[in-house]
Amino acid sequence: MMRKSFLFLFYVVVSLLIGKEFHPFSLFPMYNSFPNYSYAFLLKNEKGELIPYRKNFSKDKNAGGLAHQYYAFFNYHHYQGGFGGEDSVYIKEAGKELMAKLLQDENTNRFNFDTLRLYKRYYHLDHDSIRYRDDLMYEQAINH
Amino acid sequence: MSRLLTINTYSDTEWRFIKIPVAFFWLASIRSANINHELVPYPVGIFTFINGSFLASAHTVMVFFVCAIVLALLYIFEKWMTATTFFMFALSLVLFTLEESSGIFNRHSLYTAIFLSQAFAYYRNKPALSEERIQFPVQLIAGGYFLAAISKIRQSGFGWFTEAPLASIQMIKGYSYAYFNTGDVKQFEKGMKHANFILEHKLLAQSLLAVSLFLELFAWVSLKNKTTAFIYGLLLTAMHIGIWYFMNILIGSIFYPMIIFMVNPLYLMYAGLQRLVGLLKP
Repeated sequence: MMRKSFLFLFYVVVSLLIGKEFHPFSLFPMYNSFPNYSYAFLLKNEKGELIPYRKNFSKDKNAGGLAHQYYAFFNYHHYQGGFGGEDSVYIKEAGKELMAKLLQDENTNRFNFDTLRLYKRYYHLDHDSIRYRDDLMYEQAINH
Repeated sequence: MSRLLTINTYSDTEWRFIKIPVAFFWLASIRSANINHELVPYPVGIFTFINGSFLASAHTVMVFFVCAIVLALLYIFEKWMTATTFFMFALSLVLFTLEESSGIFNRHSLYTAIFLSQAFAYYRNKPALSEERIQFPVQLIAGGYFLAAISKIRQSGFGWFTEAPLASIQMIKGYSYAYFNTGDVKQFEKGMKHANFILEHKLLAQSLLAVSLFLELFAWVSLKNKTTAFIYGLLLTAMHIGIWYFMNILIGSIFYPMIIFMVNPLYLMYAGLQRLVGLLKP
């Protein structure tokens, strides 16, 4: 039986001892709690129209990736985040960095908009009703 | 089919139908690894000790991908397996750590660990190799699910599932991603519909979450034998389908290795087809 479970035990024990992400060891923390907020990141043009990622950017640029990078930015800098209450200075700092990553290696000549705005949509539950608001994080003029 | 499952060994045919999809999904993960070129902005793992920027250039990543294609072919054609699986581990370790150091956590840990376990199985080269190259990965997959359960209990306690109404906020997020990526507003409407369903059926939502926590916590049951691995694989598949339906989220880097090693759907189709052909023969 030991042969059939020693790797299971080794992987679990070492991952727990490390206690954080250290590839290939992980705590698999996805959805380990359900806080009363979630964020999604969207793009709009100067007219306030949605700019879909897939129609304008290379395939590795997407809403999910931006969300991961937003949390990585806050964790890396040890900034307090969540519940829609981040400091506006940090939000702008994060917005600038995310915008730079988004536009990296992109051909901006083919964009049919002059301004790109990055918003953070903040969802929360208020007495069993889902509410949201869009906060502007960063605005970038596009050079064609 | 039932007789095949009760025999606690794996045939070469079963192994063939495992390694082909493993190589395919691993290559797809390598190809789509979201790496911030020329920069390692949020170093994690091995790159907290060494500066990985020199490995992150677009050219280097392309060279890694070409190496990955060669390794995947060697893996499928069963060539120099100790070295092949070890280099697959090393390549995964570097590339996926680079991805995680770009702030993107696509949870590819299992692929990396699986190849190391297979290198170990081939290095041992025991008579039980045909079982160990499949059962060792099953142990790591079960470990991943068990760790996910422990993570939930440590963070939220055994009452994790009672927070089900708040899961609606996470559900709408998954569908929002789809809307913001494609511009298809129907995705957002679908997410709102599912989220409101959860709010209106709290007990059902809590029960489903409790079942998924139970499944993850007892994932080690799958290690008993081939039959338990198969049955557990089916249960976990049902769980993933439920998460995908309600939340529009499928964590492929965990789901694909699980279904391939525990259920082996390609082999099941092959065995079913063989049986059908046998029945149709005059």
